Amino acid sequence: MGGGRVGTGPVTRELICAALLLVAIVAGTASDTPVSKPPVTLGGYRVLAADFHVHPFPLSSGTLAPWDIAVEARRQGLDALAITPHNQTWGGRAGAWFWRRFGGPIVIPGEEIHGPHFHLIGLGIQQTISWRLPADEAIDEVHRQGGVAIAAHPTTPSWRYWEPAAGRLDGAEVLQPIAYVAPGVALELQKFFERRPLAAIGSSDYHGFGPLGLCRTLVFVREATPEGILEALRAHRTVVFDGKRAWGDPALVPLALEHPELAVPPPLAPRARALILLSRVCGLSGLLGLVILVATPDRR
Amino acid sequence: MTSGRITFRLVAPAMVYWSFVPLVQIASLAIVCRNRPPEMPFRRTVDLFLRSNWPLLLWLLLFSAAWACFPAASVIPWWSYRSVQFGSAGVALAITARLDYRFLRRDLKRTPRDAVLQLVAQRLLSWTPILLIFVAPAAWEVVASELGL
Repeated sequence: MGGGRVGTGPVTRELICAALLLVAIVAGTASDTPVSKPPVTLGGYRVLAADFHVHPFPLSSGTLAPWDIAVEARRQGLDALAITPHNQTWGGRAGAWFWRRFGGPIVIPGEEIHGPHFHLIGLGIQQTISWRLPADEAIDEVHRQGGVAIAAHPTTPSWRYWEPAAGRLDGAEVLQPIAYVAPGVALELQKFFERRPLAAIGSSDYHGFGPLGLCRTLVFVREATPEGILEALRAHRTVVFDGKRAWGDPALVPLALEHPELAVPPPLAPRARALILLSRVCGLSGLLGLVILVATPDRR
Repeated sequence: MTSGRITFRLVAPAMVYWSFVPLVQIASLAIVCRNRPPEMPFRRTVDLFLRSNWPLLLWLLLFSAAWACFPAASVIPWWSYRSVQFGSAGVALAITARLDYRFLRRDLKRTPRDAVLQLVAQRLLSWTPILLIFVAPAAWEVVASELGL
């Protein structure tokens, strides 16, 4: 979208925008260091912070590729995540391959079975499960593949479709971004969870908006492996809390509440916070300047 | 929107992945605007055409700024209003369409009827693959469910 000069001086407006963006990238990259997070053990279990509902690019209305998600998860202080594309499993398998090859947070392959009446997260599965199956058959298929079945954002309209199958679920999202939409929506998730014994799940339903791990699950594992995480989910050894309320295994909730820092990303150093602010201000200013330059009528 | 900052780690790969959007737009433009005035080479045509994307870029920038500058829990309530999401996107798309229509009329010397037809054709040719790449599996479920397929 190049063109002639707009400014009259030696420093054009294009150069100012470019300089702002350069400062934004340099400051943002300088602040982008991995966080150090020592392993946490409570009640004899290793505690992992996990996000089990993450959408990759492409084909799943996500913005980051599976390998970028895995790296970003580490920056957000997550120990594990599940990449769960809509109605397919390739993104999760790609992310799991990246984890096995390069390390970082444990990546579990999965799928969000995105049907017309309910959405089901299948964790630890390799083969795509059809969205045309009713809930009970979809859950059985997840289990047949050795996976764990989690009800995704089970708000009231989906309840009657869960009814015949709810006893077969392993977990349900009790906290996820839609809980912030309105108190009534948060209550619907909590009611669904409290009606039956399930693993409490907090997920970000990450599509690119907001931070990865915005809502997270604390998983109490015997071993920090994908199999260890799936075993803990089947045994309902999870805790979710939002700063005010906690859900999950009654024996583990008090332990988790003594460590509220586990439910949020690790704190940033003052220098990193200053660099992030600089990156944000310069980045938004530079991009806004570019849009204004493109939109300026005399350039057409 | 993801990290509240601009980092090389996120910007570089995202630029590569999302480059398919302008490439698809250019390809659709090449198909739709084959007959151009002699004073309008294809390079110049592309340059002028892509400039009319500014309303969409501004829309994206404003939403990114909201996610970057405010806590997610305070952005989600108003972001979840479909009228906010789709209403603002609709306004941006309408302004872009108006600019493209003017470009077709003024710079490519199309008649009003041809300008409308070519605008619709360009949108179909570009937005169909873009949406497929972005949301195909879930979109297919929604379409198939609605149509009973």
